[in-house]
Amino acid sequence: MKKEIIKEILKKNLKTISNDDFNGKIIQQLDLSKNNEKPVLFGQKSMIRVFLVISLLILIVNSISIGKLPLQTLIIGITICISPFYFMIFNKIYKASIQNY
Amino acid sequence: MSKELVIKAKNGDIQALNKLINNHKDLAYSIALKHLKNKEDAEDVVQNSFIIVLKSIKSFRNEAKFSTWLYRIIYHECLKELKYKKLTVEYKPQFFDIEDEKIDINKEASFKNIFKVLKPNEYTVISLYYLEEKSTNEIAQITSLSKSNIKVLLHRARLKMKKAANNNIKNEKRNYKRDT
Repeated sequence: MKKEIIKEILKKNLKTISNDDFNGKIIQQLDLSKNNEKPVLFGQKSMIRVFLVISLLILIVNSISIGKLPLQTLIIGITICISPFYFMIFNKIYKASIQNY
Repeated sequence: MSKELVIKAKNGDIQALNKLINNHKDLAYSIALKHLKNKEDAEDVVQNSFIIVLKSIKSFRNEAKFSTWLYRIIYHECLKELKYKKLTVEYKPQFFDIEDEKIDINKEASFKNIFKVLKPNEYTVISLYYLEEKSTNEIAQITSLSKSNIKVLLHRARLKMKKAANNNIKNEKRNYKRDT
């Protein structure tokens, strides 16, 4: 059978949804889910950003005021500073896993 | 065009959302119905799948990606529903004589019940391949089957459709002879 013929037969034999409000129900559900999200003063992203900026500032001020910091302190400080990145990475992995479902 | 549609839908344009749903709902419903054999269940599965996909529409760049994911969710939701209900898909094999008669697209009767001979998997694969113009790679992504398995299903579906059409033509001829 030719490609066009198969396509035509398939098109003709598609079943249609009898519910007239099918699209409306879907769109309504989408809006409801948006309304369910309660407004917050600080979002997750902004909290992580603020934490990053503050910890970086503390690290810089400390290194300027105290002078040379011991390597161990510096490593601990940097590890704490970059810790919010882990949440961002976990979020990315979670999003990718949803897409791969 | 499909890119624009997705961008509009991302921005919450109801017209674009409606168009996006209309573009895919009939095939999605046909696939779900073939698997579940129940109108209400099929409608529910399609509706839920649309909600899941549209909620995360922001992660899609174009309609092709959107539809691949939509059909993947529909297909797997159908399997989940079947598993849940412990339904077994009954398939009665039908045997036809292979005859290479000319098939007339305008003869409605030639294609009557042509899809009844196809298994849900075969119908899913052939409709995605021809109607949605998905590649075997994309269909493999949707169904989680191997590429070679998709090719086998496509070949089998084509063969069955041809046999069913030929059988219908044969029956028509027989009826015509009997009447005259």
